[in-house]
Amino acid sequence: MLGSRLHSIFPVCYTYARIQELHPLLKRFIVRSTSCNQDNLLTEKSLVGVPESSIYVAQRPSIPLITKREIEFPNRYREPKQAWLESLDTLQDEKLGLVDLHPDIFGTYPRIDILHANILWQRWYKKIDYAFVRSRAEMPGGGRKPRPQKKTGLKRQGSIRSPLWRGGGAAFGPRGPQSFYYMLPMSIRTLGLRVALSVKYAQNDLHIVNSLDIPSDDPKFIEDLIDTRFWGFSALFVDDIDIMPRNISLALKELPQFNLMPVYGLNVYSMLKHETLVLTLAAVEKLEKKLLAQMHKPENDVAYKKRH
Amino acid sequence: MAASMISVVCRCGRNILRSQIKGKKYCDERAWHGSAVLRATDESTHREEEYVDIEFSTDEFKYVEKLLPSKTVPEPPKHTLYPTPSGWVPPAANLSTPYAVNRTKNHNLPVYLQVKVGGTRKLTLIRKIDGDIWALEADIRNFLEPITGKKCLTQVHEVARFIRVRGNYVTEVGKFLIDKGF
Repeated sequence: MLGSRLHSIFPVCYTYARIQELHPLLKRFIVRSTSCNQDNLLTEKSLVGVPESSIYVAQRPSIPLITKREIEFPNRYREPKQAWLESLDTLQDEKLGLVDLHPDIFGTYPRIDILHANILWQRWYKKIDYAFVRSRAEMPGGGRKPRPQKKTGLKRQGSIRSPLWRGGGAAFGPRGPQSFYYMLPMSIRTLGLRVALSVKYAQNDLHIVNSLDIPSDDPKFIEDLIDTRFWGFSALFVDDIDIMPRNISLALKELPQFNLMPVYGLNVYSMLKHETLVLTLAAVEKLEKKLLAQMHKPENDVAYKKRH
Repeated sequence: MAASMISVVCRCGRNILRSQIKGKKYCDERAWHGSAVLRATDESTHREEEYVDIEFSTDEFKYVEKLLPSKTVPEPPKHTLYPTPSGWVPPAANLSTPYAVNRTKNHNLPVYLQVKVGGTRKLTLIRKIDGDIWALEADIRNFLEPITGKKCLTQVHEVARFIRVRGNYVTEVGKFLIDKGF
């Protein structure tokens, strides 16, 4: 049923050679190919007179139609979540296929308490409070008794730097620099990532693209693309490695609301700060692999741990 | 007399040890000098003798991999008879309930005992619940009340997806979940 629905959306022909040249990663996916028949040719012909921006299907020779993706550690009771595989080649949203996503990573329950714990941790662990006030011992003077103990008519005082005196030392002042570093448990951190990804997916703010390659390094193109697709005011583009394509790097250089990030830098704070999250397919693969490894790691995960 | 004999023996032993150490040191020094002389005289022929032929092979690494701990918890092996001697039962293939209880990563049921207030308050915790959590709560209540003969007090957490039952009913709840096929 799903297949037939997709065929109605993609009136184009698919070849295996094209799939392989598109991306080496796509070889892992189950791809359904159909022969190029007369109906498809007619559909393409009828689109010739239409202006390019309004054509739903691009004028490319063929598109891989991804209907399934291998998922490790599948959930016994839950179907995989599904998302469109998109492309940044054109302004219009062009669907290259449908990818399955792990339900334990992109379909967890929205634990806002876990998100809150992660956000607090990300704000606090890097904070250093430099506030410092001198105590009575660190202030100059104050060693001499300011006046005799008795017969002055005034209260008994031993030092002009007493905290009771104006210009005296602080009794319990801040003693900086103070570190607020702490570590959130690994399980809470990984669950935070899973919940943030699930929330983005549930709110339709998660987009999966085949790569971050765009045809132009002009910022106008990527801004128009984001406007056309209603991706909101800010977006985070995530790739699997930290060497980003040239065009998108130059295009986003002067746009602070659109940012690039490798998978190893992905965090809850950035995901919630940006309105839209754009993941490449390679990034999804890497992310799922890492998070699943965390979820299914044995308790004793250190090889040859020294025992006392 | 005996004491002096022992001291003599000890002294002898010490001397022998000392001489051995000295001798070794002396030998080492000689060997070092000797090699230096050799190197100076006939360097090329001596070098070739030092090197031994090595063969690289990665086939034997599978035996090393057996010793390394696995990165993830492996799948449980297929047994001929269930429950296994330890009492473990695999989850059933098909389910007809509107809810599901996922196994932990160690393939066990996520049912735990929580002891609070110095051991006077005992709670049975059921985690990792999918689907209709209220239906599961009703089923657990209907299962436990005839067994215990008491009113079953439960707490349902819809966000964190767990159910707590007042009292220690870990074995009973575990049996109930296994009967349901989880």
